[in-house]
Amino acid sequence: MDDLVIRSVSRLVVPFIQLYGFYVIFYGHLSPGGGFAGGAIVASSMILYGLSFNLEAGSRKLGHDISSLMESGGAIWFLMIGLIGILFGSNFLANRFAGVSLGTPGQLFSGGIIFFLSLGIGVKVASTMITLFYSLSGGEDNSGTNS
Amino acid sequence: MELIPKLINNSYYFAAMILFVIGFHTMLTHSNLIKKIIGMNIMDTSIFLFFVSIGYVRGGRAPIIQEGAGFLYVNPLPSALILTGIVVAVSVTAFALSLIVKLYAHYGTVDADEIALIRAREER
Amino acid sequence: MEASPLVGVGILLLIAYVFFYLPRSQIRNLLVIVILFMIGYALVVTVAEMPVFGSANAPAYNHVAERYIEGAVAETGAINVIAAIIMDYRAFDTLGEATVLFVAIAAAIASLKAH
Repeated sequence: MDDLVIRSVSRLVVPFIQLYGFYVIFYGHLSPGGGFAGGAIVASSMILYGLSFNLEAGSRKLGHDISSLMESGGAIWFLMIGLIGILFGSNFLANRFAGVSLGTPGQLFSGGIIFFLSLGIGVKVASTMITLFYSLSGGEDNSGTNS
Repeated sequence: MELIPKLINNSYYFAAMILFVIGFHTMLTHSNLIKKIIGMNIMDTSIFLFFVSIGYVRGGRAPIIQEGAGFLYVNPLPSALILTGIVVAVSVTAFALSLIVKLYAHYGTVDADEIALIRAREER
Repeated sequence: MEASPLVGVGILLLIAYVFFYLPRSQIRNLLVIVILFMIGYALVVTVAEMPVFGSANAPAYNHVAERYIEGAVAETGAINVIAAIIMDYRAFDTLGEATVLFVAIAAAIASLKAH
C-alpha cells in the first residue's frame, strides 16, 4: 500500500513484535505460551512488513533461501538436541535421565533441554508461516524455477 | 423434557456441536471451493473448543505451579493434545489452499460445479 | 429416537442419494437441512449425557493428570505443566508434529512451484 501512516508505523512496530515473540518463545516453560505461539507471533511481524510495503521488499528482507534454511535447520536442531540423550547413555529426548542439570525452578535457564526444544520449534513454525505467506501470495511470479 | 436443563449445564459442549453443524452445512452447501475450506476450518475449531473445555475444573487455576499447597489446577492434558491438533489443521488448510491456487490457474474458475462441467466437456 | 445402527446406515444412504443423484433444486436444499437437523440432534443428545461441565470427579481428571501436575517441577524443572508435558514427558509427539508441519509445507511449495 502507498499509505504513509501505515508504512511509518509498521516500520516502528516490527522490532517490538519480534521482541515480544522471542519473549514468548524463551519464557515458554515459565508462563503460558511456548514454541508454537511464539513462532506465530514472530512470523506475524514479517507478514505485517510484507503487507504494508509491497511483496518484493518483504521477500528481499527475508529471502526464500534463508527461510527454507531456517525451516530445515529448526527440524535438525530438534533432532540434534534429542540425540544428546543417546550420547549420555539414556533414551532419545531424555531430560533428567541423561544427566542434564535442571537448575532452580523459576529461573530462565531451568528445565534442561526444554529451552532449546522451544527455540527449535519456534524458529521452525515462524519460517513455515513466512514461507507459506510468500508462496501463496506471490507464487505465480517465480514459478518454473526450482531452487 | 430434561434435555434442556442438562444442556444449560453443558453449554460449552452444546455450542461446540452447534458450530460443528454450521461448519458441516457450509462445507456441503456452497459450491465455491474456498468456502468449503473455511467450513472445514470451522469444524476444526469446534472440535478444539469441545476438547479443551472438557479439562476445566470449577475453582481451578491455570496449570502454572506456584508456591504453597492446596491449589486446585485445571486438567493440563487436553490442552497439550490440542496444540498438536491446531498445527495439523493449519497444515491441512495450507495444502488445500495451494491446491486451489493451482486449480484456478488451470481451469480459470474456483467453482466446483463449473469445474465438473469443464471436465465433462473435455472428456467428450 | 435411539441411536441404533439402522438409523445411522439410513442417514448415510440418504446423504449418498441426495449428493450423487439429485440435481440442485429446492427439494435438495430441504433434504440437506433435514439431514443436518438429524445429525445435530444426535450430537446434542449425546453431549447432554456427558458429565457436568467443570466437575472435579470427571473421568478425564484421572491419575495421569495428577501424576503430571505433582511431578512436573521435581522431574523436569519447568513450572508450566503444559510445556513440561509437550517438551519432556511427550516430546516424541512434538517431534511427530514438527514432521507433519514440514511435510505439509514441502508438499504445498512443491505443488505451487512446479510447472
